[in-house]
Amino acid sequence: MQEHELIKRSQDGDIEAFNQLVEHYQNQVYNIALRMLGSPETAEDATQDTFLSAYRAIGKFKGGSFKAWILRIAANACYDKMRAARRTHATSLDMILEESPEFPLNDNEESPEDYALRQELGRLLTDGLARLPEDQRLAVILCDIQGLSYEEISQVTRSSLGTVKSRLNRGRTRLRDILLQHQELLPPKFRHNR
Amino acid sequence: MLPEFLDDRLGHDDRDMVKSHLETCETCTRELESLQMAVAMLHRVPIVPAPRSFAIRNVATERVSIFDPQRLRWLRPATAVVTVLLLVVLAIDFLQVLPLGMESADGGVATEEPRFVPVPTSEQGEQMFQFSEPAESPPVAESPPVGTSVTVEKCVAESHYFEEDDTMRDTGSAWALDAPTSGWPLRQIEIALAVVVFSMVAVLAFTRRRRRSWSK
Repeated sequence: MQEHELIKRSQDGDIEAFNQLVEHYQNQVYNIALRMLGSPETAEDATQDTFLSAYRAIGKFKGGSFKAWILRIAANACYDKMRAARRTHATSLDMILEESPEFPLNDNEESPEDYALRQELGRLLTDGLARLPEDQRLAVILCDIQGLSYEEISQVTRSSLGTVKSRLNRGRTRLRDILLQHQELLPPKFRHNR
Repeated sequence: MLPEFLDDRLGHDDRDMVKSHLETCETCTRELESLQMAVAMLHRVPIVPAPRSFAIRNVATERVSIFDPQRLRWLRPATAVVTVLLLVVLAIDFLQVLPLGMESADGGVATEEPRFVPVPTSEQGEQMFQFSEPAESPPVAESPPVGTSVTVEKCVAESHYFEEDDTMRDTGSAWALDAPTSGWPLRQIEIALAVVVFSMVAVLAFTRRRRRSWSK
């Protein structure tokens, strides 16, 4: 069934139709939450909150990109979780470093040494993402991990294209600087880059 | 232009211009390569499958429609406001900033607001008013001097029948029935606010507990 038909039926109260949309987007929403929040448990909560909020608000969806709409709800759910973490005197970085999920990087050809390096690099990336300001982190995750276009990110974050580019550039530069502080963990072709 | 070049978002002309610049500028080349490295690292971050289905259950949605945390978002600040209001009223009551009860015309303060019941007169057909009997009618001592508190019991003991407006004044009594009630019913306000605060806190606690259970 087409997405717009599922949306229409969901707006008419058809939970099954809505759940098909959930099935389609849950991996993407969960992964954004996981990279934004770091903790798998908190990411699960944020994902659940996202779809509950989406179900309640689906009647207000007036067309356009459903993907951008649902990811915007997901981003807001992540911000809510981070605010809640701050209220309990825990920063998102603390949360991420304490509950750092397994962060494997895709690499099929690797030695045991490379495997160990890969694990370290995964932790470094987690740490680097967590050190980014929230808006830059979201832009980097949406663009470089989820593969969204500038326009889609602009819709998700409700900001201008210029703002998206700026956040993305600053986020990447900052992350690059963090990675370059640990060149020994980078693949050989990226070492001694500076 | 380097970030857009990195994301392949430049037109042909701009792209060629950046390329020709990179051939001669080592700084920009290193900058581009380091950014490409960071982006390449991010591209290798895997997409993790969701640990479970996040499909909406019938029961959950039904519960959500009743205690919708989004809808009840106003409840927390509202509870704070009503609590503050309650504290202010309690403070006012404690400090007795506002007068309690009814003030008599000559400055005396009635300890209890008199109650009136309509008593129709037979011949004139005019509406008359009479003090109702209190639940307990203790023996009444001598009338208090003018300027002191006057109780309902006093009026009962005197068994006056008053016309709504004029008769009271005609009796020359120390206090006028048509004097406006200048005091606030602080006790009733306090009780009402306390009940409201208690209810709001209970709903907040219930909503919070339910929300936790839904997200599991």
